[in-house]
Amino acid sequence: MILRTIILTAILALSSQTVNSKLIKANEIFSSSQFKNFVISPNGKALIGKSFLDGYHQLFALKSGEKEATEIFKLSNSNNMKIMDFNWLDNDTAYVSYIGSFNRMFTRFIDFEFKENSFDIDYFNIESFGFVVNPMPDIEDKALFSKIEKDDDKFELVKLDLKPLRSLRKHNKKAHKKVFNNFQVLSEDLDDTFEFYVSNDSYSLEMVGQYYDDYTAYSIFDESENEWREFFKVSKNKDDSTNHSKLDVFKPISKINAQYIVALSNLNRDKVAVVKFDTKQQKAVEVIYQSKSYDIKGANYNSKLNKLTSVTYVERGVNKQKFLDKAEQQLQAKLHDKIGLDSVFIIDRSTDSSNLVIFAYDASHPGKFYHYNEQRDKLRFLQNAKPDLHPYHFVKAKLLTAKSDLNKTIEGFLYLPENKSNNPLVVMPHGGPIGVQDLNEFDRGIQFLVNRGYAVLTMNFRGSSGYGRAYMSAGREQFGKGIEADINVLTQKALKLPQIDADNVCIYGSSYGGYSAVTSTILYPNTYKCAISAFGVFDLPLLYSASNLHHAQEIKDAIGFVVGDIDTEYKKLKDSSPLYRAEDIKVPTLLFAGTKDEVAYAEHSRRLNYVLNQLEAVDIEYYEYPRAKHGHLNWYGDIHQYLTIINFLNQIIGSDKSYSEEDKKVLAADNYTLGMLYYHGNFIEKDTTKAKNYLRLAHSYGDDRAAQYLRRLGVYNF
Amino acid sequence: MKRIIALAFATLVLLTVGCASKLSNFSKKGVLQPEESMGIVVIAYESDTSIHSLIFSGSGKYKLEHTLYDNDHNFVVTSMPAGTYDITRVKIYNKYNFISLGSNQDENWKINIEPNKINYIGHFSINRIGRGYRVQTKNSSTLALDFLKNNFNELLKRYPLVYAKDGPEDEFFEYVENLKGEKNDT
Repeated sequence: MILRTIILTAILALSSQTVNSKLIKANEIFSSSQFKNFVISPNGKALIGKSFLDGYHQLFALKSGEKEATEIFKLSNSNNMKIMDFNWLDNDTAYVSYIGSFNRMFTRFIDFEFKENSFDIDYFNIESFGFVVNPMPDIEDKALFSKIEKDDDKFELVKLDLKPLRSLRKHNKKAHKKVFNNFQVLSEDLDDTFEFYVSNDSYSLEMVGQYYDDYTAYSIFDESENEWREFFKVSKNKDDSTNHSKLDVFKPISKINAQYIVALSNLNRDKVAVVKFDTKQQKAVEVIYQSKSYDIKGANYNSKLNKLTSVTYVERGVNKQKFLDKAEQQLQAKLHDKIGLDSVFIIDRSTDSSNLVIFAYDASHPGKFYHYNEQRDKLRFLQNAKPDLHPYHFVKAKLLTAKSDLNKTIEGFLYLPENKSNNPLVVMPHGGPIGVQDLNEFDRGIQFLVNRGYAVLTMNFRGSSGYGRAYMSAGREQFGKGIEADINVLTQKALKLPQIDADNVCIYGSSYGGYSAVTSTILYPNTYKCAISAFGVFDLPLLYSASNLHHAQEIKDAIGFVVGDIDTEYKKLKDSSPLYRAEDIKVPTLLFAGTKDEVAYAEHSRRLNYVLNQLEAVDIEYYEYPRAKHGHLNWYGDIHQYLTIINFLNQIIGSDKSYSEEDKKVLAADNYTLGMLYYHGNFIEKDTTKAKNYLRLAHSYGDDRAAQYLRRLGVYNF
Repeated sequence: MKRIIALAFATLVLLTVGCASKLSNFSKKGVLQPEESMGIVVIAYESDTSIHSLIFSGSGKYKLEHTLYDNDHNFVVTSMPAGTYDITRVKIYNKYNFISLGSNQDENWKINIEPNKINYIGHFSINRIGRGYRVQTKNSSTLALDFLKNNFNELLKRYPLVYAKDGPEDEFFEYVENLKGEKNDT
């Protein structure tokens, strides 16, 4: 096989260029991460990285400590093709599972032959919808593979033997199937399995998740009884005792023995904690790790050492990985000091833990990958997640807290343009509203607004996740009530800061945030100068009548859990709908919707647009994206949305700005992009008037590309 | 917002169907004067799969064929005897292939046609998902209102417009009508 060599240093050189302009082009920030992940081989001698460059999903491999990487796998970005999973199986074999042409799923096994300064590879594919569950690193050429066949309703756990597969003629589906049939199926006697937990010692199947028509369940294998025992069940039937609340969390982590497991759970408690769960009594018997203020989001348990090794949680908006071993804590502290970013995660390690892969990131940085060698105490930079953004400066949020009327602390995150006072403010409530959490992490939209001179305030109002069950539950049926009160409390606190211009504030959100934006201008008319909604809901009864499929009891229950019951609370729902209070909307309003959105159907935005146009009391702009669902499927949608938002904000709360020559080049590029989006009409309805306007602007800022398209539109006086 | 996914995978069955009365459409040029017992029916198609016809079953059985909508838009305006119906079948591609619908606890295909009113049923939508179909009626009342204003404004002036899909109440048309009244009063 011909191997292409990628020189990582060349990419690094590109990333070290400096960009003098303060502004960032929309199409630079609204683009995919170029480097997604790295994994290290069991002996720590080689790494594989995943990238998305020049329209291709790629895997590349490099020997530890070297700068040159070699492309080992490449997939076009067309026709939904993508890499689903990849990792090492052993020291000289890796695998990659991917969706190929015609939505077929393959797993490719890549054999490495390492030489002194290089390596060769060979590979073979199997076509199967499945994933490697355990690479069985101690056993050569074996792996546990979870797969599902067409028309089957369960995943099977199969013990792969690579030897007979390797000897087959490549791409021979029939022969592969024959060999597959001889492999041991570990889940053969179990019904409707979808999730597998495997022992890291014996590689035996010890727990499974099962998905039946009317309930889901977890079962454990009891060696003493030599049988499987169901220990946790979630019934879909409302009258069943195992019909859990939608706020309940239960996730097995690891089996301790035939009776006990380690799980993440908030059953009978407020915060999600790591618990020891008795599968016979079917209850938590011990809390292994908990936080006083926050839900635990993840945990690692070493079953060989029989101890919890690390937990993850979000503290003040920052993702944290906390090690429980002192030596690991010291190492992490050292790495944290060296790297200087808020979140430092060990994402992979060699078998003996002497070689680590680190991913570090925070609000001001989209992320960096490092390789750390413990013996040499050497931290080596591998790559930025988004090298193209490396030259730009982004900001971290300042934590802002306030007490709600429930006497709960509301955490907010205030992003400020640097070295400026009296900034116009955009308040940005999140979607959901239940079970979603805003973080103090890199966010393209927020950083773009800040880059264009707007302070941004986000917050975790009641209903947000991460702060326990009671806090989340307090947001239920609070549309237009307690949630907006929380947002207001924090906003008023921000308005008192010298960095904020209290007279120039708008509110913008997506999904529930869109509802909240428009509703907040009704409830707090003196605070906001404009409202912006993307994919929002404005007619709460319409949530139930948007489609006949929403009449199903299960869906009605799901909507009712968050919003309120349509049968008993119809009037309340109507009264809390900004559509039916449109006469109280007194500020310019900008709406975006997706034609294919089946969460917040575009009909919500169409209705509000229709009514506000009828009333003729405020300026209303409405954009409907024909290809978008509950969000954009393509960056061009985000680019259009954010450039339109900036133009809208600039008209209403923007201050006079003077632009440098470099800034003008950025504005030229942005306006050219907008003009071309209207010119082609692929992502937004074709509009030659708007195309002409933006292309004229682009040309006036010095973009010569605009001239030819203006001429094609019959414009010559530019 | 928590994503709510409701996939209705319907099975394609190869069978024939019994006789149903064919519905006819109204030309926008003609003056529509339905009988007292009839309701004017407005429906739109929104599909990535070719629709041959829809079957309505109630006090009678009616067939709405794809030939009724023209090239300018995806709406059909017709009339049916007032009453409650289920949309029981959609024939796709040709008259022999159909997907069974009908109301049960998971799907509600019931419509209530009121006499002397314009009854908007919804946007009938079929999308292929894998080897199945997602079939639904979407409530796109604003699009229906715009369509009627632009194409059947005279009709809209003579008859009240209602949302005819059975299920949770939707007061949008009434609200818009009241807004118009308030505007005229001022």
